[in-house]
Amino acid sequence: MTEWPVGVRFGGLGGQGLITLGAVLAEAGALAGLRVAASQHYGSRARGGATYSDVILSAEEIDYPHIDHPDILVVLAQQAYDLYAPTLDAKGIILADSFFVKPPAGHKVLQVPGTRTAIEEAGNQVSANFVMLGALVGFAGLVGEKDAIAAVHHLVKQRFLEVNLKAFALGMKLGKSEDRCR
Amino acid sequence: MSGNVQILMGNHAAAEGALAAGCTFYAGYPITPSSEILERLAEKLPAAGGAFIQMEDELASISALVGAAWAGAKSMTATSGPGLSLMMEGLGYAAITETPCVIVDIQRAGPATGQATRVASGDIIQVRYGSHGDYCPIALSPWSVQEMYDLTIRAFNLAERYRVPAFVMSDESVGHLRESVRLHRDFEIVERNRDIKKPPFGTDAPDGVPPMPAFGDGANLLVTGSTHDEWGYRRVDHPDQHTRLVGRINKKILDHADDIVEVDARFLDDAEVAVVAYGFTGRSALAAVKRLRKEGVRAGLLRLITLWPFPEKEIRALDGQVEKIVVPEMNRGQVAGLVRQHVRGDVVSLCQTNGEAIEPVAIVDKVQEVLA
Repeated sequence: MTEWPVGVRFGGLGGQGLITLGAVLAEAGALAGLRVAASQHYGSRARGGATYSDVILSAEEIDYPHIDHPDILVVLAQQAYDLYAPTLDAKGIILADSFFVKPPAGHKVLQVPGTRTAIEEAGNQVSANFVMLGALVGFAGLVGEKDAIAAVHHLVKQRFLEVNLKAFALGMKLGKSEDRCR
Repeated sequence: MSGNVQILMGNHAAAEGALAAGCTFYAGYPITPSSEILERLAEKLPAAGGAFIQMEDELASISALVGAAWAGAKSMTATSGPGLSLMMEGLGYAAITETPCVIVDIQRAGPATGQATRVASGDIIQVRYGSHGDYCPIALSPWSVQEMYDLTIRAFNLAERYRVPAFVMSDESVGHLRESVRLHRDFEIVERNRDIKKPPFGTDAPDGVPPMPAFGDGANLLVTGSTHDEWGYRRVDHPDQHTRLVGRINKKILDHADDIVEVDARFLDDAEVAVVAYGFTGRSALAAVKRLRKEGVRAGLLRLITLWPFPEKEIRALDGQVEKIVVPEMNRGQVAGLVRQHVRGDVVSLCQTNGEAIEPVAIVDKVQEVLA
């Protein structure tokens, strides 16, 4: 059983689709009957620059909708890892895209081949964010697979839907079998 | 309970509120962090039978709002600091011509270009005093996505009821927040009185609000930003006419503060310290007050949902009731200064102008410091 509330931070660079992930996870949580709040922190550049989006999933009303210390950090870029790993809750966990993030020795990080899977198996690098979302849901649960897929259908544009659904399914598999995340 | 529940961004909820309130005209110029309002209405307003125009700038936008309102429309724009500054001349024109219109301000860190994607609440005084001369707009301050919807509707109704520009003074953190919102229809819609037989710029009615026919309704309409008599004729050298006009456009708002002002009081009954907050900072303040209560500190929250006219009576009621007042805000103390005008007790300002939201822990620390 998950102990609510859970704060998830998606960190990376502008253009990697982090705000989309926040919106999808929030909607999936709401479909599961949870209270949700999703926020974003970004710069004025269209691409590049460290960016994050936060999601709180809670069984109760959410007073303050920002996160001080995330319980889970999903990180898609080294710069974002360096900035946001120190904000993690003491008992928090990190899922990192192993293509871009090299955690320092000794850091406990679940390394997910997000970008590699997106390129080699999903067929498009831009779907790396959805591989990571799949890995999060596969590994940590939080929301049901059906609810997550429904949220993807609702929020992703038609022309990217197929590749992102594929990427999400591939990520789910990775997340469920931790030993494949190295 | 009725209406569908969705997860929406605050800015999108404001656009939905406009549609629900019967907005038929939007003119605006895109600006971060407000652009999602414009984007959604560009898509949905024409489909709902309204008109959407992207203007060349914000000076034109607010002028278009005034024109559209006099053609009978319920008009709206959305902007942020730099655009709001450009609207100040048109705001005065809307005020003296008693033109209902709604302006949603998604506040960002200023002055000037500042930090376009970062939060602030630095425009509170500007909307009240930024245009020259004496006028009194209405301003509401949402703290959630639900209130982006509800207060946008209320802003339309108050604008129509009092023939005045009404602001939704939101901020980047609420504008870009995604939460569940119930897009309900549990409200009345205020329609303006378009009586063509009575003067449109003067009335002996106790509420001070004359009827406002539209061009085409059959009235001989004269609309001018110069001082005018009750039929709209320019009276630029009559001291009495000017006194009467300026007096009435202010009194019609200030005399109805009880109808317009809304506050949200929590844990105040036995409080020794009150946190006075508004907008997104209200969320931090609520979380802080709950943490303080757990630690045995008798803290309470007075959240200002209406900022203009200023909730003077509600602030005065705190005097003597609590020992200290703490006012956290994302500016250099704009509302703290107003609070000080209405109480004799200690008012402590917690200012933050770094483009970040004030975290609950900062308010907890400040309250403990004040009580120590």
